[in-house]
Amino acid sequence: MKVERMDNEAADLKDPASAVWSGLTAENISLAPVPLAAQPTEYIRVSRADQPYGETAEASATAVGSGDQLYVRLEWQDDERPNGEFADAAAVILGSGDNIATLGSDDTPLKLWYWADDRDGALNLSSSGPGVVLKNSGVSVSAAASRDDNRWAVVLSGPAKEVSDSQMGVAIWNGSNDERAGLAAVSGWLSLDMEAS
Amino acid sequence: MNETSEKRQIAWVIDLNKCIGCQTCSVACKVLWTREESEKAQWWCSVNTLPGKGTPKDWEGMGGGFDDAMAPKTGHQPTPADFGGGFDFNHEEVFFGGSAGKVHLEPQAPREGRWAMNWDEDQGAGEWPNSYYFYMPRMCNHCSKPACAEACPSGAMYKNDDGLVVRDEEICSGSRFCMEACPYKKIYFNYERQVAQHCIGCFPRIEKGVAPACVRQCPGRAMFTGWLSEDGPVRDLVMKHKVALPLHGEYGTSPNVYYVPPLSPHPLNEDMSINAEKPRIPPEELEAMFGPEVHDALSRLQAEMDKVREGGSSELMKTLIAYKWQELLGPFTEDPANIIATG
Amino acid sequence: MPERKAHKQQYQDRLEFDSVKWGTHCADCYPGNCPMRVFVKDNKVVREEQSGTLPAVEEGVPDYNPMGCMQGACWNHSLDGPDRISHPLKRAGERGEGKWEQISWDQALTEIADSMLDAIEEHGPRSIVRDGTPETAVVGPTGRLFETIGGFGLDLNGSIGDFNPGLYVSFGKMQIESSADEWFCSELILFWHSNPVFTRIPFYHFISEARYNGCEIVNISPDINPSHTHADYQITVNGASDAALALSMVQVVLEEDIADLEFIREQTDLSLLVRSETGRYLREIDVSGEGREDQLYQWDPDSGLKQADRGNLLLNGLEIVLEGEFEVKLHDGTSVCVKPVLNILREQLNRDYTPEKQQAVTGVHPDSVRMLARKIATRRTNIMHGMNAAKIYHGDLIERAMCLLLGVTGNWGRRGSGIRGWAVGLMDGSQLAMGKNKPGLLAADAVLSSREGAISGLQQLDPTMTTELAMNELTKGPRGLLGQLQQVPEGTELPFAAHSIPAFWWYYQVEFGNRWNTPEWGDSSLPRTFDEYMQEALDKGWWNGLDHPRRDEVPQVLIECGSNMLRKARGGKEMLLKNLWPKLKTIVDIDFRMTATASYSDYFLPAAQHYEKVCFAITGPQVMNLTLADKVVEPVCESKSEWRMFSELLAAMSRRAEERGISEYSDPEGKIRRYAELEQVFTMDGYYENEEVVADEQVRDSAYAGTLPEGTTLDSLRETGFVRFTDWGKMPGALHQASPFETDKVHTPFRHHVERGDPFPTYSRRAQFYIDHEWFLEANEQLPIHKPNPAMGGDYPMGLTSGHNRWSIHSINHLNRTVLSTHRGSPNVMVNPSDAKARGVQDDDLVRIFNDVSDFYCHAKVAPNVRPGQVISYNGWEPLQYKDWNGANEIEPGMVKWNGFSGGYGHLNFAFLGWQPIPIDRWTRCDFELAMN
Ligand code: SF4
Ligand code: SF4
Repeated sequence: MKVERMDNEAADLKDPASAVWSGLTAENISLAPVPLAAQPTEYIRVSRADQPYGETAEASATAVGSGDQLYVRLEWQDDERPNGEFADAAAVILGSGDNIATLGSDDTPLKLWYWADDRDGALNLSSSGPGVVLKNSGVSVSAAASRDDNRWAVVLSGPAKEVSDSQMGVAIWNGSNDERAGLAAVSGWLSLDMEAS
Repeated sequence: MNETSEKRQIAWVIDLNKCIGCQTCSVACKVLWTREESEKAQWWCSVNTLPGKGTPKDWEGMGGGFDDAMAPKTGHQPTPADFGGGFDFNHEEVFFGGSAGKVHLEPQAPREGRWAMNWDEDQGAGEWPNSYYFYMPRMCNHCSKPACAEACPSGAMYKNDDGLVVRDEEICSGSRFCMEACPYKKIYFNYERQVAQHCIGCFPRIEKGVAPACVRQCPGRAMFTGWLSEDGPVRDLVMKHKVALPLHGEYGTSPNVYYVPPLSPHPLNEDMSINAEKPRIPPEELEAMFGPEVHDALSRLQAEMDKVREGGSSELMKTLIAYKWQELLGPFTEDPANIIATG
Repeated sequence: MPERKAHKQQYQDRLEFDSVKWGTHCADCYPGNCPMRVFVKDNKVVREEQSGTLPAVEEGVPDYNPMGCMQGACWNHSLDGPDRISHPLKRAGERGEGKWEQISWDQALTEIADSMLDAIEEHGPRSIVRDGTPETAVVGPTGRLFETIGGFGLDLNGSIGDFNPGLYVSFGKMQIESSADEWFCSELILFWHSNPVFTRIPFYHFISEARYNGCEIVNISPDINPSHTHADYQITVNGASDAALALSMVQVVLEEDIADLEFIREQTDLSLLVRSETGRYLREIDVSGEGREDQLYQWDPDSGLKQADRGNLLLNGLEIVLEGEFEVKLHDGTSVCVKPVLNILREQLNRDYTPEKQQAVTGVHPDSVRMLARKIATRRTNIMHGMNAAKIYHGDLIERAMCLLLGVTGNWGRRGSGIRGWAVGLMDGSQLAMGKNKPGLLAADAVLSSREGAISGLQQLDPTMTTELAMNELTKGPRGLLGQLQQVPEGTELPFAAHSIPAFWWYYQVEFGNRWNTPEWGDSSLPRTFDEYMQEALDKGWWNGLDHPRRDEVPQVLIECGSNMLRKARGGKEMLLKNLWPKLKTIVDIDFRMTATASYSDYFLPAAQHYEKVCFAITGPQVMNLTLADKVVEPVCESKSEWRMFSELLAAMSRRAEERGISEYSDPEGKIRRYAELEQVFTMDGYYENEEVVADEQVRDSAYAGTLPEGTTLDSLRETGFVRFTDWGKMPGALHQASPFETDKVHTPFRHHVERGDPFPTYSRRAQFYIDHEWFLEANEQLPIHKPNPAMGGDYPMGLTSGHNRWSIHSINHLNRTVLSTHRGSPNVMVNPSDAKARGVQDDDLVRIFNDVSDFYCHAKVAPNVRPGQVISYNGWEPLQYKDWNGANEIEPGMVKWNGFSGGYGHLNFAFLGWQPIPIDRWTRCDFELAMN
């Protein structure tokens, strides 16, 4: 996926509805549920055996570099609003290794720029498995979202230097299906063509 | 777990023949631990009238815990509506709104389907004149096999050195699987702080040798606490006299709160004479709560009571009387006014 | 998002505090006295916790720890709750419109002072009135304010109805109270017209522990109330029929020969002789033509007619005859037949109250009656009795029947036995400090010796008087024997002169006469109307000096301090708003929170709450400690202690009087009071500058009087939080215990009566079950009998009952945010599922409860433990918690039993907190229906 450079339009880039985004071509991404077997506790494995999750199968992504920041705009279809208990959420996954499907592992934690519908801003998390997260301090990330016609559009942004191996992934939690922690849909790695960033 | 020393386990015994449903334990707990606005619907210690739907509403049907093969059972996460409570009131309008006598003070929440911690207080069951009920406080059972901690994906929950189940809220990611897995439904969610919360067993008090607030403030002297592995009333009532039983032991979590089951006055016959053959609370209902051991426990209590009435002496009765209040506190007899907790 | 600390730290921090002091809650909480530690952080009370520091009183009896309750555990939430008002307010709209203007203290006090001056100048000081309250922090300052100006106070027991008429009729006193730990020593406890699971939360453990110690518990109630939970037997009795049940048990005890005859002979009037043809006692004046009217007779098996000893009850084995009929020659030569009361009683019981006959009245199976009667006759039995029977129309008869049952089974004055009302006493310094005219012990001594002088003066007039009886006379003021003394001791008459009986106030000023004269709402078996009885009582002078304010003595200023008249008045707030409110020029409400009464007042003055001023818990026998409620933090915003407030109010009166050029007035006793001196009188020339100084003086004076350990001061109390009393002192409520004071033993009342033969303060000097007052004879109530409850409120199928609630001490905690979340958050009425179903009502539906008086709306709580036909509305909810602000008392007619006005007969005479008509509300007839919202 190409990361466009737009060094003068930082403010607008944070807004998912901004016109700057419509001029760019979005990349389609497919997602799959985090495997049941990888769920970290027996309770989750047993209780979710017959309860499907992570069914958000596709999303689209667009990325822009501006200054030292990376902006990623995600968009996906979401037909139902959450019941208030769990929020719709999404994350840009950064890192490397072959465990993106399980949202990282003990040996190879991944970074999550995490947005959720029920909180302002974004969290920078470190994830070493489905739902096994810690907050990273020091690095500030942000998020803004809009919803239109049953589609979420979210821009997550943070320091471009956080990207490693020129790749990113995406995770989506469908709040109306009580998805949280490892109950998510996750993509594989997408390589980022960082241009001059 | 450390091989050399078996961890100590704090346990509670609650004598339901002494509990009067006064809510001092629940309020003491609330004032100490859950007084923030974001915690207003939380009652780590709750007291309910039984039979009843309790708190959260109909919790007994919500699953969690383990099956006979010790496999986890799917549970339902109680919703804010199931817990109910946390009302906001219209004080300002009633007092100063210029509508005195017209607008009255009441919870500003839809009435339909409303619930609260103690919503079904004193309702009970049966049919007059044989209606029956009793009171039951419930807090976290600090189980020896805590389904909540085992379900937590983040590893935020652990048994501390005293056997209390505590949560590292720094680690808690708010995923709420603990709330599903706990079969007693004693875990709440703080929506502002995005962490789950439950009875912490007053660990900061225990650290200072002070008994938990529910125990120390219970005016009914219905609660005992102490180490299950050391001599004292808790161990005696559970192990020796076997009159204190876990609630829903079949949930498989090995709870550490034990209850002395309630005796009850006899019911009346059709002609209003006393039916001395039976207790008022149907024993099968108590069995459903405390298991088949409840029958022996109740007969033992009654027999010892009768013995004393006939002039005999009973070690069990003396233990339950607890002549000195401090006996109820086990080793935690420090005065909270004498400690100043500093980091 | 608040910053998170390390996960343990945030909870460990909660235990931190800057300082800790002693507190308790004395607002109406009887007996209270729970020592609490009050924790302060950043100048705010953050929590309180029971101290758990009470030593065991007696070896082998559990200690009192950790006394407390749910209200006490969150009292601090009343300091900063949304119902707290902490600025002076002045009404900005119509009364009750809820529009307020915040004003300065100076403006408030000046305006109130002016209206008080107007009232005094135009109508005299007694046109300024106050209602009674038991709140200790308020009783002292308001009492002194009213004594200083010469205003009127309504007797507390008469307005709240916490008076036990049947106990009083039987024993000549109702301030009877064992120590709570004595319950542990009972062999049989009857919960009867009480619900200790709600009302005795700090002490209930003594009952459950007694049960483990061999005691049996019996709950006697119409509904399966919360106190059935830990009973061995539930006796389900028809509402208000308990007299029949008790009398039937007496019948069994007498018939089965298991009565305690020796006890009956010595302790009760059942051994006294009554003339068959008149039903009156045989009297000395009958027999000899002279002597005492109240000298009565017994029949000696050897020598025949014998004067019943008025000074000592012991018979030393003499077997006074209890059965039979005897002929006695009168002084005029005629002969009359006499019978012992027991004989008359037995005939009456055998005729009307066999267990089989009582079943039709009470619904209790005869086997249960017999079983219970046998238990009572053979065990130390404690009737755990509350204030409920007193609020039933014929509750006096119910209580008399209970006392009779105890009397025939030897069940008082012996460890673990007896019955109780409520009692206050032991803190003698509270009277001394208010009675003296200078600081210090010398002045206290002067008051003490003046009191001693009065006692010995009375004992000279009647050498059979014990100290208890003499002090009892003193509380009657000049209307009693005291009036016959040559010199009435200084300070003994004043508090009584300004005392009014609430019943007269309701009759004259609130127009209750119409209701009281509705025959079917009262005792329709009486031959005369209510007004005829009342007129006779007035004509005979039974209430001389107390029957004010009369119709033409219109009150001008009402000062409600710590009281909440519109909430508590039986008969409803509408009666007050309609009939009394328009007469009142100024209504001042002093409280820490908004109440219904505050809402309908002209001025609201913000009072300091507990933890913001120094006071003590109500002192009495149940705990026997003096418990400190210290000032822990400064009063919030502009609120002030009552003591400060009243000194400033009196100063404002002096200032305004001077500005208006008026200097003095005379009170109805003809005493001249000078405006310029009011504040000086109140503060004892500036010495009593705040409640803290007063408290210290009271403690020191109590130590001087010998009821507290030598050297006790406010400061020494601040070390320990409480101190155990060391002697009874001379307050009537303490002397009424009539028992030795033992510091290391539980307290059982009436031991002096039983062990020493001390006489009772009744007409006959015995526990008196036969009252030959003309009204009692006319109503056939000379002995306790069962009478059906009148259809108060009209002919409706349901009966409204009440009782103290679990969640609040009266209304004081009801708006506390934490308390509100321990239940449904709003008031309810409890009804049986069958009654609900018949009316299409489901749990939590809004219902309208109505009768001929009025109606109110409330949510229904459907519960099978409620008796079919019963509607339970627990007491104390604020009217402002109900739709249209109408609570359950709106449908209560507010009846009083006519015989409360009887007098002129030994103990049937008013004394402070004593004999008087009291309001009735239980089993008001009503119905309910589903309300359309
Ligand atoms: S456990 Fe104790 S404090 Fe709690 S409700 Fe029962 S008696 Fe009251
Ligand atoms: S309110 Fe009364 S009973 Fe409750 S803790 Fe305070 S003093 Fe004790």
